[in-house]
Amino acid sequence: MLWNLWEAVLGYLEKQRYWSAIQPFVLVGFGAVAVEAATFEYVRRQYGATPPSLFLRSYLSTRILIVSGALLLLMLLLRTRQPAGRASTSGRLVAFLRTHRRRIVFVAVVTALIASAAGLAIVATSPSRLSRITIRVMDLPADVKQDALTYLVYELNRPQRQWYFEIDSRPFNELALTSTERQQCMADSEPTLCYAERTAETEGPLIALTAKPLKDAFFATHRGLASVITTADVDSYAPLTNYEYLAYLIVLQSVLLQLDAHGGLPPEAFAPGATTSGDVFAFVPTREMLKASLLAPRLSPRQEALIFNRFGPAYLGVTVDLLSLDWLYTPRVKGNFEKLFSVTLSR
Amino acid sequence: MVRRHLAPVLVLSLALLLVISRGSSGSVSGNSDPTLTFHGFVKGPDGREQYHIVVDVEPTTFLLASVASKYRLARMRVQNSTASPLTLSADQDRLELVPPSGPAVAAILNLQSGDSPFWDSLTAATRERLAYPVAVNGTPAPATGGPPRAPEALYVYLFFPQAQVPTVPASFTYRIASLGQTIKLERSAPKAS
Repeated sequence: MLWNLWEAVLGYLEKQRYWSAIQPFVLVGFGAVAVEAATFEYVRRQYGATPPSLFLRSYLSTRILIVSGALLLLMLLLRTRQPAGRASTSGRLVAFLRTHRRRIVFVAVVTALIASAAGLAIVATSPSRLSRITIRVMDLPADVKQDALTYLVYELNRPQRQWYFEIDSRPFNELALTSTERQQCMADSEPTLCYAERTAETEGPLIALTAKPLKDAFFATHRGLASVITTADVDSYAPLTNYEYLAYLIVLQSVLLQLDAHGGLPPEAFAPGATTSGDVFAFVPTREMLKASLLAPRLSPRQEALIFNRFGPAYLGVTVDLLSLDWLYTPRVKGNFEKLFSVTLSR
Repeated sequence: MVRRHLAPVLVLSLALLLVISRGSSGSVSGNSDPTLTFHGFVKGPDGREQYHIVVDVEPTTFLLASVASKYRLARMRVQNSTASPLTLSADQDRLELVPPSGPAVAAILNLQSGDSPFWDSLTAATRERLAYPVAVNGTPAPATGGPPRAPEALYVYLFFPQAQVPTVPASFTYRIASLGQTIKLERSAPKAS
């Protein structure tokens, strides 16, 4: 039906006197709409239901619009009457260059300007990621070995290039803060998170690990550039080991850090409620439910679309893979944990 | 006659004086290390060394250089040969410089509260380096039959009020609250280089 409508509009326009003047612009416009539709369809098929409004705000749609706009501008610039004949000899070419020298320079400069502006606009609207996240070990529970934890983090870095973790095993020292920062943190409702935030201000995005309990959260808390994960409630996810728990929460907190740094979390993320479906961004109503989330993590279609639009399909793929923890249970990684670190994973 | 022999006698006397003075330093090569090194130990019931504390003071630098025109700075190495971490506390531990004469001078271990304007003016990385540490890691036990592991160690920076320290120290005392004892750091014999 839409195709018939398009044919009718085209048939009407073709009969108009100005058709030859607007024909290239109509074609570029049509091409842009077609590419938008094809891309939307690809995204929808590849990553599930994506609301059109979300796609139209995505960097993919914006890139298509920027390129189309640049093409339209260029066409407008180049729509000038061409010389009657083409220069086929070197003498005619030289004469043509001499005659149209100013025009050629003008067109070249404006083309370069439009291309640069389009390039800048694409770069400005492209998804960007926090490539480096520091994991700061404030203190570890007795059953977590520093070397095994370091190996876990390296394995997280190994299969993907979307972000990488650095591990900082220096004990956290409150005395390294300024006096003002220390006072602020002592008055904060979650001092550990405040310390992590202050550290993140100079060291960049940071995930702090602690064995001490948090005040207002069972497992982890997050604000701005910092997250804190605690292993204090180990009984809630036993017999899963602290390594499995930390692997899952480090990935999850990384996604939160990146979402927060680029446009904010989804509005429904961690909204308190009595029910949950296992979404990774869902509030866990009771502490016993976390184990189920670790075993069957799930990104809802809406969350997948959000991550896709903000960070691209490769990032989404990495996130889903890492959250599943399948990489942790491969014979190679599991075997290394057992043989070299004497750590037996639960699955 | 006496005048004719005066010059050689003077030269010989000076040379003898130099030899005597160098001999008293104990140096073999003549380039004596000017650094004063103070050692303190804590030994276990079996006589094995558990903790070894060392403060190095280079007298010229110590007396001439100052931090923010307020502090004399010394560096202390704390070595932990036990398997357990050694807990430190800026508020409960106490380190004192004992001068050759006069009262002992306490180091400021917590500049964050002791001199917040100065402390806050430092960069985060510098504060991280200078902050009194919270612990010295324990040294893992060697594998059965294996050689002993190198002990864990870290450095602590000591700030002394400049006006109260007009001369180089004679010794130090260091109280570590978590150990419940005070360690005396005394000068070791001069090293030959």
